Amino acid sequence: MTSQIKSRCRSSYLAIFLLVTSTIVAGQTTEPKPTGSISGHVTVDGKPAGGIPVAAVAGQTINVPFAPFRSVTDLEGNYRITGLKAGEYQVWTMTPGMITDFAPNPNYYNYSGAIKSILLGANEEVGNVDLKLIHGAVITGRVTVADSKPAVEERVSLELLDANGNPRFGALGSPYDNLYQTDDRGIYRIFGLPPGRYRVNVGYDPLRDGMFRGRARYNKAYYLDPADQSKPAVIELSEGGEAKGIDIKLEPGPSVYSVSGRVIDKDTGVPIAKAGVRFGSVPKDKEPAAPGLIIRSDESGEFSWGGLAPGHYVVVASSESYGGNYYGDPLNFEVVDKDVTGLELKTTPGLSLSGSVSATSLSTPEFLKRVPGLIVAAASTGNDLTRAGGRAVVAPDGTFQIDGLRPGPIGLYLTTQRPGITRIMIGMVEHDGIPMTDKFDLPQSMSGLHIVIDYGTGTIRGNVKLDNGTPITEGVMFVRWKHEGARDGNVVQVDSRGQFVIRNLASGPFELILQINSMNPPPARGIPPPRQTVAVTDGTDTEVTFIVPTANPGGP
Amino acid sequence: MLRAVMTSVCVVAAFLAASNSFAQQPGGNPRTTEKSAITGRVISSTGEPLPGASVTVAAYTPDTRSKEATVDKDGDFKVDGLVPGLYSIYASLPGYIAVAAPNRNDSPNYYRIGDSVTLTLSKGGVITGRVTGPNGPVVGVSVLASRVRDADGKKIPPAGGRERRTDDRGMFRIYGLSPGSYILSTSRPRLGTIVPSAYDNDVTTYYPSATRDTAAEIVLREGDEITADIQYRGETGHAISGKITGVIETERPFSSSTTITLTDVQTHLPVTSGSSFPDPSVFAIYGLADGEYELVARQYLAARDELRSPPQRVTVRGGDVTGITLNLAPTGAIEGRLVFESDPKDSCAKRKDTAAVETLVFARRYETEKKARDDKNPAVAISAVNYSNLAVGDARGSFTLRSLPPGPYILEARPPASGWFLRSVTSPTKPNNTGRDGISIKGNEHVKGLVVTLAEGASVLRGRVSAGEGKSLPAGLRIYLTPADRENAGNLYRFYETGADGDGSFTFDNLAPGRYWVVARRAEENDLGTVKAIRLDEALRSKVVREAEALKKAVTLKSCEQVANFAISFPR
Repeated sequence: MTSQIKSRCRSSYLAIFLLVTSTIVAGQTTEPKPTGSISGHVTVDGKPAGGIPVAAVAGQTINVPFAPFRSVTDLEGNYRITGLKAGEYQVWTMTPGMITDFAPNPNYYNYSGAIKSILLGANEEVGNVDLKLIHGAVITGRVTVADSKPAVEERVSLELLDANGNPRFGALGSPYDNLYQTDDRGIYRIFGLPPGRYRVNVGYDPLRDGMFRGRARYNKAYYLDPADQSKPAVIELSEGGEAKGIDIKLEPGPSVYSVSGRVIDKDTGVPIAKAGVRFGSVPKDKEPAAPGLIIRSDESGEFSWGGLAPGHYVVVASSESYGGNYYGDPLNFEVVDKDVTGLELKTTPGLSLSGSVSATSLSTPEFLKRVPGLIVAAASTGNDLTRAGGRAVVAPDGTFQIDGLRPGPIGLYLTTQRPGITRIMIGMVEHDGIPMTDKFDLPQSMSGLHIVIDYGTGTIRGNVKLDNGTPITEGVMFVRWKHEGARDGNVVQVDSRGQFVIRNLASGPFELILQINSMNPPPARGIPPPRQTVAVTDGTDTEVTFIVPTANPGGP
Repeated sequence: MLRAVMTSVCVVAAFLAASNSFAQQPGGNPRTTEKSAITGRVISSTGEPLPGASVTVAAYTPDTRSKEATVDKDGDFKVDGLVPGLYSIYASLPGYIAVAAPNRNDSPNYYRIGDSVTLTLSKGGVITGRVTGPNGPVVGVSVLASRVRDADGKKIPPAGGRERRTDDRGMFRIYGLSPGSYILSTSRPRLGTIVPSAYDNDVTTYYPSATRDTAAEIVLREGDEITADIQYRGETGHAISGKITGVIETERPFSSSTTITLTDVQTHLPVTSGSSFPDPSVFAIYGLADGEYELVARQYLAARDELRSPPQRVTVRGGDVTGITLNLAPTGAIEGRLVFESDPKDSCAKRKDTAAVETLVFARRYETEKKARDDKNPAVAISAVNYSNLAVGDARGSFTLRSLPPGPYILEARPPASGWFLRSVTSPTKPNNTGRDGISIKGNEHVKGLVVTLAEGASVLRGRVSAGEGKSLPAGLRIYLTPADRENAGNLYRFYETGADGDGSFTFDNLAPGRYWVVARRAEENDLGTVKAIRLDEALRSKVVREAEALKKAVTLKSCEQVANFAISFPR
């Protein structure tokens, strides 16, 4: 998991990270003030830079609203952030318009600023956390529609291309960010870009924007090659350069239509008020499905939705998103050249699944305090376009009940609504004392299910070192870990000094695999990812070290 | 509880005896499922049609999805498939803004099926400029344009503004602004991806390089493009932080987050609002100038009442303030039902079949002479809007008004159509009429059993105010009706008011038949520019009653009567 921002605001809420809170909390005068610090040097275009704000953002991500611990570089480019408690920090320059010049590998997108993660010990003082910035590049132009009228508030998407001319990260640019939007004159100016080769497009793209066209009036169009208007242009952006006049003409898209109907019980015909209705697009051969959507029926069980372009769709009622206890039969429909009305979604009362949870080595109340808002979810397995399931918040006494399940194979998983809590994993599932897997068949309602969550109080503290003792100054590295014998594991990031910590582990053996995407100084090439097995005990810290062979200066 | 039910049944029975009312279910069919449309046009402020504009119709009933239509090449639209009820409509077209329809009723504009509406959009003006600081251009800071005066130069209550961030050259461009006067302010970026910014601890800089007291106003006329550069002050402010108690965990995404609103006590302007995300029980707000602030925390839980903390005053003077605790508590509600009394003798009420679902109900805070506010710990937040969440009757005429902080309220019901008037609002403890001293909510009380009676036979009064020889009428003229019969002297529902058009003409609809004094006078406003309402403001009411009784300009209205050409002069 990279600590950089993904390009959509929404996805940052869904990513799950370990959050170490370090906000100012009231009235704790008995604890001594923490004295940890992080310091270093900042350059811009290779020269020491004063006045650069640097924050130590607590946690594994910079996608938080505030970072109270911060500093500004002096005239020599030095900064020092003090008063830090032990924990993980993202040391980040808050410099929109400037980006890091350390682009370690093709999978790493520079959003803005330079960043290094540091796992800080209690009252530890870490120096030499140096950050190198360059000025970002700019792409600007004007988007018009018929008769050279401005295309107002249209979203501009960028594709940063790899060596083969394919987009490296999908579409860059968020619909929530007015940086990527045309203004009232149809003009856009996107700044802070890494150097590279780009294509620019505007307009609706079903795979990116979802099956609901809504107000997207124009089809996707690229900035075309001035020498050959039949293909998109590739714009070469140099470091800190500016590409002007990147103008695009938009053509109107297809008419859109609405679909409406109602949700009724299959046997009684009684309408289901406020039912969740899920729509999906049915892809043509080899085409992936566009992201779907969920709406809700009204008080009389009726629903309607507009903004669908001609195509094939599927719709089903489900109690998963809005509550209730039913599952529905999917219905296929086609939008041709007029509104689709009179769809009847039939539902059947669902099955329930209830039981309780506990944690491997903590009392249930203690566990639930650490993982507030824990949710048990069940999803039907199989490749149904309209996956149905149910979810329930775990009650303070550890019990849960999920309703609205369809008879058939289901899979259990755990999640939380609060981001910042590390992924929660199922250790074991049992029913009436008999162990079972987390994927099973549910022919009728079931109670007495017990889920033991693999969560404990053990910690692994790790270190990655080079065999010749040279300190690591930066890197993008991860440790994949798994409780031995479990099916699923998780990933933790290694900080820029090579340190990592894995928390909340139950006693037992754990397999660790070190994945090095990039490192400075560079490691030897061609080495397979190093592995280790570590024995963890509840309530204790276990140390582990990975020794990585350095690259020979003269070659391998 | 049973006694309360008996009381309201008795009251209803009395009316039943009096005038053949439909007491049990308002307006005929409990569930008219026939659907119809709202039609209309969208035009520019110069009268041209705007094809391609989007029209959104949203029902006032909660949890109902809004419907959209696109304007055709002639500028017309039709939003179909609507059940009877009340709807708000707005049109949008990127780069354009809505021109507000005139509204003299102190409630939002709403529409019913079968209505035809013309919506006007104008291009609005642009304010653009550069933000420069001691180190050169200020990149990625938000600039907010807040409208403080309307197009006539009159001060208006604070409202939300439009915000854009500066680019790599420090330049910003805020478009789509309605004519009026604006102040520009900088802030940490609040739109888009959430990350900390270099500006989080900075006190707001106002255009051109000022504090709030000395902020310059920018006058913008329609279609103007004005350049306004800001010199960024970059002064560090202070923080207020603490915890929030009473948060409820839910499985709905984002419902766990709590919002904190901070209002400047002196200017009543919202300073900032924030979300205590991801941990809803801890909050911190940075970058505050010295001053006195009021904090309110809220947690919105869909389908339940909102949780709210009592407003708390915090003073920032030269340093951070820690240890503030905001305690979320449930808010109150008012539940009741609508009763419609038809009169076969005087049958002028319209839209009887759909009356219940087209009646808008809301509660407004009622100011008594001895203020409920104590300046140290006010009961009501400065930022509270003066009418509650709106409710519309359901098919059976029931309604619930939620999320009401404690205090005294008067319940209002907008009659569904011409020919109906609000006769009374009674509660189990006030079987005669709450129109005398309102309904009081204490703590998170749920007041139940309200009966709102709307009766057929309303009268209409149309007229004109004229100025003296060679004189013109002032802006903001209001016409008031006060009850002239003694038995209704203290009945708030017999006080009416409306605004005059530019030529002095005015219309009163939905009046209870009876005798009234009529007086025209300039509107009075509070220090924020909100017009004082005669039903809510006891001081204003006493003044108007005295003036009206001295003037002795009377009108007597009979059931279903429509009086036109009523003339009054201003000044008297």
